[in-house]
Amino acid sequence: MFGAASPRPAPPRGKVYLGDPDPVMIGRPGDAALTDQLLSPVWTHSRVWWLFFAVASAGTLMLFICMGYTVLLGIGTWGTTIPVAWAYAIINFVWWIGIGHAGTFISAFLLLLEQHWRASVNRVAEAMTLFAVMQAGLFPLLHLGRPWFFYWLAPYPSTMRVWPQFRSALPWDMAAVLTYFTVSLLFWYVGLLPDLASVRDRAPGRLRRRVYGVFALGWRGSVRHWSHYRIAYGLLAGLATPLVVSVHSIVSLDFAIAQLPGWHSTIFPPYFVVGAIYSGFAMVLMLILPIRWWYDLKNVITDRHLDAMAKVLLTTGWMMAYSYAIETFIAWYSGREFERYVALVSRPFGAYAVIYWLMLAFNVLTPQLFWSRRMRTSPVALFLGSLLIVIGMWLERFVVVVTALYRDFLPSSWHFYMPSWVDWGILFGTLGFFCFLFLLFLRYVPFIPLSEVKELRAKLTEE
Amino acid sequence: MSERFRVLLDQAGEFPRGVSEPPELSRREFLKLLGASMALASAGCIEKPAEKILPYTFQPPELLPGVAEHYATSMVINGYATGLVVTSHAGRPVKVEGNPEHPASLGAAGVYEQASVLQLYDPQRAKAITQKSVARTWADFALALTGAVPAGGAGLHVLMEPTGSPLIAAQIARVRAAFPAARFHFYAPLASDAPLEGARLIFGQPLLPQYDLSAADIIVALDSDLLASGPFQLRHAREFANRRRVREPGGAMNRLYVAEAAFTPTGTAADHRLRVRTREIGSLLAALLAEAGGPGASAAVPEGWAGWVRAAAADLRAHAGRALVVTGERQPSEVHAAAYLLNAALGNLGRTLTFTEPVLVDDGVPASRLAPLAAALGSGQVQALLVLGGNPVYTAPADYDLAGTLPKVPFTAYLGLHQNETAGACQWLVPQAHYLEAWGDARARDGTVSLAQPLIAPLYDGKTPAEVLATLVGEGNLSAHQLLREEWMRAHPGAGFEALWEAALQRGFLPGTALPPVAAAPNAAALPALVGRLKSPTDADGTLEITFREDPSVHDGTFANVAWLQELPDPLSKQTWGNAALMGPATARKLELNSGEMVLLALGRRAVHVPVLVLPGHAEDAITLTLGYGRRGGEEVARGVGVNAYWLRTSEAPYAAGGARVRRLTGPGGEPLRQVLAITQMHGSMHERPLVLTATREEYLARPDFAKSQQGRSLSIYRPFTYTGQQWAMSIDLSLCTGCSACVVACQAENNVPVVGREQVIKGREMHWLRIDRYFTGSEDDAGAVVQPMLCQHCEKAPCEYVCPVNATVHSPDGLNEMVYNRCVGTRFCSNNCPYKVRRFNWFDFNAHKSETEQMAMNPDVTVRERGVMEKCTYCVQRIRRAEITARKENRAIRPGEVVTACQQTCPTRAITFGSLGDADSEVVRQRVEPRSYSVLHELGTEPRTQYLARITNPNPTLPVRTRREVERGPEGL
Repeated sequence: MFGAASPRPAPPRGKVYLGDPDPVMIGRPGDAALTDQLLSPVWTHSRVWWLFFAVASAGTLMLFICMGYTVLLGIGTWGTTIPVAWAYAIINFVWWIGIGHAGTFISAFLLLLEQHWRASVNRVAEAMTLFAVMQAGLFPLLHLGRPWFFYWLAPYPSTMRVWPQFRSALPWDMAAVLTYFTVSLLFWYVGLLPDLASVRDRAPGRLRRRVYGVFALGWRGSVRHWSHYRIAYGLLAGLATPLVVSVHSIVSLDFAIAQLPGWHSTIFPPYFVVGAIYSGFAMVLMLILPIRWWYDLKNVITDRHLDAMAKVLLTTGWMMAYSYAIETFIAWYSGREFERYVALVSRPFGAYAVIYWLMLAFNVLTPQLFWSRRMRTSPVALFLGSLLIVIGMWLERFVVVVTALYRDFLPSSWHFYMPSWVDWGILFGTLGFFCFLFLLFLRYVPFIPLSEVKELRAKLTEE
Repeated sequence: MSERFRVLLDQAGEFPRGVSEPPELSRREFLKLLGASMALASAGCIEKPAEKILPYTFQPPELLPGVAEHYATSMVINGYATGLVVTSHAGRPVKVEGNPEHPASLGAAGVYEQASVLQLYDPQRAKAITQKSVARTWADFALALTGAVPAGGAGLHVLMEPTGSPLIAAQIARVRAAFPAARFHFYAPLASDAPLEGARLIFGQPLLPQYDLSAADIIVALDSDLLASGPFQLRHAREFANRRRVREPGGAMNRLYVAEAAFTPTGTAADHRLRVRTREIGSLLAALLAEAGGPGASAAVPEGWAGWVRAAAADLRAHAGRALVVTGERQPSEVHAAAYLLNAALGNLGRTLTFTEPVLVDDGVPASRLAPLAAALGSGQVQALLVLGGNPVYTAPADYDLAGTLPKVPFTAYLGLHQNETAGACQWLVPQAHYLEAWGDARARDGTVSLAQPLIAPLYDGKTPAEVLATLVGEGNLSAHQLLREEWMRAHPGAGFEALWEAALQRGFLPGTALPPVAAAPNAAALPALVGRLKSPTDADGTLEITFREDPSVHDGTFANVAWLQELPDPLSKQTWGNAALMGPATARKLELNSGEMVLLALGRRAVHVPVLVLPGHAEDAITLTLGYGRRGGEEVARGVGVNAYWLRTSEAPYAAGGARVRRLTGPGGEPLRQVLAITQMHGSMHERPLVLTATREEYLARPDFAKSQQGRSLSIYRPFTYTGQQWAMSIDLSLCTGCSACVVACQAENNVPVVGREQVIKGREMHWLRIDRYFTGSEDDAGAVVQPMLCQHCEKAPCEYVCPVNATVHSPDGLNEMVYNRCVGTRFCSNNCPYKVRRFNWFDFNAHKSETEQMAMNPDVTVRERGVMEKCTYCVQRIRRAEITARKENRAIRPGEVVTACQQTCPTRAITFGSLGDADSEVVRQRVEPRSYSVLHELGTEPRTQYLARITNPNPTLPVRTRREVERGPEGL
């Protein structure tokens, strides 16, 4: 399976420390053992990796072809129309950004809350955020009718002396997404520095040592370095944490500031933020579970991690259920004919009724599995459940965007929406691109934070 | 290394001396070098020959680049002229408007007139004279023509479109004098002799009925779409509207009863509409006659008709002398005759109904119809056939088989606009000059002599029928202009001719040339016999009646290649790019058919595959199929679009026939074959939303504030903004709008709105800035329709403005919501937030494939939008700014009514009013303070500048009124 750099240590089995029925780490492996276990994926080959990478590359190629086709010919290549002028591009944008939020939640939010179990999973989560935000960031550019003028949404001193129109949520979006990406990237990178240095010190081959050396920025592991690192890491965590709430709130305001029934609802910011964390945790699980299995990391990603993440899924799933219920109730309570039509007629019984009910099934029923501890720690149940949740959240974005648009105020403008092959190509293309980036990450970057796991082990040993 | 060797190296020439040391150059030497190099440099310059450019100092005095010129001309449809004023930019016509003084236009222009500009610039027009596809000259043609005509003209037949042109009439007389055996035939598929024949039945001579709706309190229209179809439709619509307009609660209104098979704009305007199959109109008229007190058997009136007939008859009697019964052209002559007699009995003759001599040449002469020509072709008597205009191979009744008989004629020549079906069957093709590039004259329906002058030199050296006829008598070298002038000089001899000619050209017509009414008394004794013939035919079980109707957008096929018209939604079905078999809901249920399913429609031995379209308000057991589609000629826009209804149409029943059978077409697996119809409005019910408010006259009188919930300023915590100066606003009177859609084409022509094609319309991407929303009301048995022109409302609190991220849509100080095309990046948030959905997006580069001539059709005052930007109605801002510029140059304020938007200008009923709220005595202010003025979606607080006047109907109090709840909840439409 792995190329042989050094024999992989067998993870200790069945050794449970008294007093900790649900350990964050199984066994107390030594520094060397941990280093070997966690850094070996960085310089081992795997044919299977190449297979996945080929598929992801094909997806990426498809993405760029579809994007090029769109920019060359026009947004008409999509399925959007009047009245449904926003469809897959915005759905994908919100979905990807939402997914990204879990990464920041785990790495920054849980850091500030001193939840130590985040140690082993936070880099995968943060990388997922970065790559998800990269996917999301494609869409605000791509869905423009004239994407070559995208920079007009930014407040730069233009020779035309025209500024963006700041009452619109789209310039806020641009600021939020750029901020989010920048802070996440910095946060992720700063956290990576000690581990890049470890890789630099241990990598076979001069070239690898040189490259990692460059990226390690001269980390020496001195006390001063560690001190600066802690402060920087903590500051960035502090910066990133409010972004978890603010970015998706701003994205939700893309809809909430409009006066369209089905969009014009004050519940949107918290509804979207919760949904983001929900879908993000599901995606983190979908990534962590195969990694854990394939790279044999059950000692550092234990049942406790799975259990905690499943509990988050259950909690946010119920918050989503509440949001769906409240939205429908308030629409009815408002007595406003247009609101009632969207919430009580068009969504549940209109042309997209199937999507609405599937969304409810996937988002509300699936997390109920996780009342059971067995389900919460069963990788198969978690993976399948997370898959359904991730799809369900995409369906939810579809319901929010399309069903509010396709039947609005004047029945004369009601029109059905159908996606085109370019829409599908871009959606699956972003999935391919995401996997492409993620596979590269798995291959070349130590994806379990070595220094943090060692720190955790040290702390546990002390207890 | 030795010193000698080093010196040797230095002197080896590898490096020139002095390269490693500073040059020993004195200042004088340097300056010499400088001068020398300058001289050398300029010595290498070759002087180009001088090209003198000259400014446009000797321009024609009346021509200012950038300022449009306006010329009066006339357009002829089915022989009758409508006077127009055409706007010309830099020597090419760009926009058509009505001629305010012309009796047929009164300042309005219809759908065909507005679209005729694009027809002029059609890139697929015939461009060269050809004989069997070999290019020839006009001289060749003249030689061949004169050679082919036998002496005395035996065997010479000329087939023309109907015409009332004095010039043509004179030329026909000259040709007949030179060739006594020559025969002239006039054919237009929709022109029927029945009205004239009906007059002959009771007057003894063929007479043309003339209607005056301004004198009518009660109008009964039997299968007549007189408000939106026919030569005087613009005038009829205006007269109708003038009697319909309600200024205050309880104001006087006329009342309209309509009986028809398919839904038309006239039916939309009706107070009471009855669904009657086309061939049953006769018996309906008989019932009406009986009720109205005329002689005739009081046969049992079918129950469904009883209420309508009684109410209409009572009204007719009560308003005798101020009423009018109109029958549609396609009805048989006995129906027309009976209707004339009914009018006579009611005392309407001389008031709302008068008769004149026929206006068209050889009108009412059976030998001049198509049937004798078909017979002559069949028996091989035709030696030379000239087809001047029209497209008879396509439009002639199918049993005449012109496509088969024409090729056998020794000499055939076609004067036409396109390489179409007729051109394919004839040897010679001579490109016809479009009316916008040709000299000619014509008569309006009331006989007024109208002139047509060209606005551009013929693009392809096209010829007019007058020039071809002149060739026959040896005057082929004369141009149309010369022919016209000479004929007019003959008709108006004397010293004052030049003054008369110039006045006529400027005005577009000769005033006072309307035909005088003929004072003839009808033979009332003929009525009982006539009534005996007014029987409904009995149809075999399982068969349907089929009516062939003109298409509201392509007419009889003449305009099939005009993309604006192909994309113009049908006023009631909202179908574009094609036709369909229209049928009523109960019939569809009985046949188990849904809209879009393909059926085999068979009539006699002929059949076509056609999709079905279920239309509320359509008579049951009947189908309507519009003409003008299914083209197979050289017109690429029209090719393959829709179904050719002419294929089913035979000479025995050219307008309505019984015995049609319908069978669903299925695919291999048994599933129904479907065709996606390009329909712009998918939903036909208002879903009880207060969009089109309606009240009866009584209700309006009792409760003038019935529209209160949709009026007034909305509550707001913000201080209201004070507007000063010009504040543009619009008011649309829903009582007057018939849904004819002339405004839609006018807006498209004025604002360079692109055409997107059938596939894009199916996706909902049509670009019309102004659309006519149509909602069905009432119940399935008694369906009504209401129409509402919907355009940018220019909201004072526009939802689109605050969501645009780049300030591409902003509000002007004079109240316009402005769209800044070159700032738009195309996020389309504005469209999402527009509750009226009036914004259109350029999904592709819709202007990419415009040919050179199509580009000439564009209005240079309006930007052509790029791919990726939004566009919408601008209240014709180019016209507003031009008026401001003119006013400023003349140092005055803009006069009330000076700025006229394109839609307002062309509307036949004057339903659209535009003006500034700053002018206290303007019409728009007067309309907006009426109690029935309201805003659509008022509760959203958008404060739209476009307001609507609620529709007031005038139903007969004896008939049960549809309650408001029923009225607003309609059957789900298409």
